[in-house]
Amino acid sequence: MSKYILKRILLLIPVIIGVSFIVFALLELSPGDPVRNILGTNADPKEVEALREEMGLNDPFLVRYGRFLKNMIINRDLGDSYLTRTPVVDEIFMRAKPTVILAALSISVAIILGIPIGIISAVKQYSIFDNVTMVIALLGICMPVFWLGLLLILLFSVKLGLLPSSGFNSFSQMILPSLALGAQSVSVITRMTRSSMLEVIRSDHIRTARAKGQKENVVILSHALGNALIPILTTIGTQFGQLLGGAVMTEVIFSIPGVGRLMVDSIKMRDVPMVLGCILFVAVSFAIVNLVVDILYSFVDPRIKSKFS
Amino acid sequence: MKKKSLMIVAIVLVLSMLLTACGGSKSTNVSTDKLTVATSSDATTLDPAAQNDSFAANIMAQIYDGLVEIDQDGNVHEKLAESYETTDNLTFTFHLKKGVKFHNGEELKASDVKFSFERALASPAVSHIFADIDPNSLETPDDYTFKFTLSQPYAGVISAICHPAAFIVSEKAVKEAGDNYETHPVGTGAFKFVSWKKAYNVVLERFEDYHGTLPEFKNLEFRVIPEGTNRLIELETGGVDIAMDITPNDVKKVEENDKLKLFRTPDFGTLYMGINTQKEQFSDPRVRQAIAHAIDLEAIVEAVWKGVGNAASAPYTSTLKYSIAKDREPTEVDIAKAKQLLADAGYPDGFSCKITTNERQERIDAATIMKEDLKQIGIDVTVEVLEWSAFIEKLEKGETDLFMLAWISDSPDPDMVVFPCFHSSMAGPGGNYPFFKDNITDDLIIEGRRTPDGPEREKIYRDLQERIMEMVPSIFIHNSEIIIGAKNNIENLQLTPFGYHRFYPVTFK
Repeated sequence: MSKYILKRILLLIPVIIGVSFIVFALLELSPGDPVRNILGTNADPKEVEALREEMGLNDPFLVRYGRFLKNMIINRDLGDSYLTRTPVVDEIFMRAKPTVILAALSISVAIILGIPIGIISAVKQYSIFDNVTMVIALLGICMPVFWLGLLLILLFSVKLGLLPSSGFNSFSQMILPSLALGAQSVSVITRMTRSSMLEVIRSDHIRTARAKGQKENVVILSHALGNALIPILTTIGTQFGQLLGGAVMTEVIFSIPGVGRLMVDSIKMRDVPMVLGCILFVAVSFAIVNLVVDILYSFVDPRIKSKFS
Repeated sequence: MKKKSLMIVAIVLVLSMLLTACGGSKSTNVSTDKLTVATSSDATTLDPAAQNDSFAANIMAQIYDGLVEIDQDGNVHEKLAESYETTDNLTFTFHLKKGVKFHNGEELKASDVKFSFERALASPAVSHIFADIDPNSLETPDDYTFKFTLSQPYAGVISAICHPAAFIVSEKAVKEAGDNYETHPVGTGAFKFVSWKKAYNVVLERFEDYHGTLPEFKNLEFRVIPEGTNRLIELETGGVDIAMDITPNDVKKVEENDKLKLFRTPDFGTLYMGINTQKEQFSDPRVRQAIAHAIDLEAIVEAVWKGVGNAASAPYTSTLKYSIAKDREPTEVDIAKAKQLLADAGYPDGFSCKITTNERQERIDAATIMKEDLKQIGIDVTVEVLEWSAFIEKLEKGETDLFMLAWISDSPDPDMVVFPCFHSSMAGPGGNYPFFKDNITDDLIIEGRRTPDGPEREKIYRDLQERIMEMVPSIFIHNSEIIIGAKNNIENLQLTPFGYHRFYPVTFK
């Protein structure tokens, strides 16, 4: 098991190098000059040139990328932000906290609502409950988060005055963003649970369990859900990974100082070290979530354990 | 069944209690101990010399003071300087107030002023604002006197040092904090720094040893709320006391809400459509004049900005010195004349071209309306929208035909606009993106720089503006306005056209 985990962690190194190279190259290919963005349009062109030289931006692409890699691998340093001149790692650690909390709360909302609804829908297939929830789930998948977010603000902040519309300091400030961001995941998890359960419910071992007189609750929650859990777990993992990296709109609407907002702002300013830092954060978090999901498989399905040894 | 219904009622009750409890933590009461201001963007730094950033300036204006300051009407007053004088318009001497304390307890000395100016003059981000101050001339004859000399006469220098980049920092604090100074600012202002959560908030606390009138409230918080709608909602629901950058669409909502009020002031900015005079079809001034006569500025400003700001009638706005904006109407719409001018220039059937703009919605909207206006005289326009960095790169290389851009002056002196935007030496990356080259304009700009303030300088700038309006390197579209929403009980908020404002004199009714 530990050998497997170590192998997976080592595999992260080529992923990080590959991702950083692609991002570096894309930013290089896109037009725009970070120095112009830092100094503004009113700055003296001579000063712009001097700062460009000082920041090493006149060096060829491979030299700059090589310098970045060397710093990252040898000094474990992602450099300083072009814009704020503060270390990228410090800034990302600071901004990661709200992003991780938001993603965790959203996925919790999604699991707590999605799995039970999915199970009931599967058990009562084609009932009114099933039809209604599946239509709502479809709407949930289609509904853009910025629209849902604004509607939630209008209802809970403006009309009812119950919850604050921005910020991320207290639990009350976290409710609306978690609901808005979690809505799509609820829908995805509900649909996945339903289809996965439907497949299992029709299998022979469920019939056998019922035939031997097992209680329906036990049949569904233990025999059926246990076997249906693998695809659900995979979906939860993917959803959580996406929430960690893709909460930009939610962070903007609810004024949450997270990594998503930092990444978009940095892309606009061509702040290459910061963009790289944010992308690496997302890539590494995704890889870790996948690893955790893989490990969880072995608990859900003991047969998978054999692959680790 | 009964059991089930009871269960549902119980769940609903618990949920609503939970929600109400959460809502309870939000303050909707008026508190005079704290002022909360919603801003649309975070500061990049709190070091005055590090960046020319208006969001940072808004916070720094509460932490720092300058030698002089500018009021809402553009008049300059002494602040840390008790008085200042010049005998030859080259050497300027400032006599400092005595007994002024920095937040770290140190007394303000001339050496701090010298140190602050040295930093500003050495900073690539802000040195252009004080370009004519000779960095080797800074002197401190005694602890309360500071002198500098200009390398050549520049009448706008006193206005320039009102800029936040010339705020005075504590030499000792800067040296002690080293690289961390940006996040540990120490000034002489009414509020001292407490904390900064990046992209979330900056918290300040009243400085009890402040040399001026002590603020009425103890705590000041700037909260970053990027979405305009959210800033307004927070203001409406009592989450903040003041919301900056109210969008034109929301102005009416604030006006109609009897619990809120608006503060507004024109700023130093003018939005214009630049014309690339290097391109063959635009090299003839008659073509440019034709474009000016085809565009209905008043209609565009009404449709796009909904009464915020006004249609431009001069190269720079009336908040800057010697502007002719108030004496002129925007260029008259005259389609027949425009067609005639085009025909005279050799384009009786018009031509095709592009208007390039960045992603700001009001610029795209204005460009789209102008496209229709120009169709009437046979000019077929396509609107091209680019992301900011790509846009600026294209401008600097002279690859655009027509483009939408705003220029916001760094001081009330007109030289801050006319030199970068219209002098031939600044063509391209310097700011003269229309690549406009005209000897008469060049001479007037240099003459204006070198002439001391007074009727003679006024005449130069009036002639210069008339010349620019005649040569039409750009169509000046809209003079912007700063719009701030506040709770009804807020008074004495002092706005400045610089785009940063003084919150420390605010009182609660």
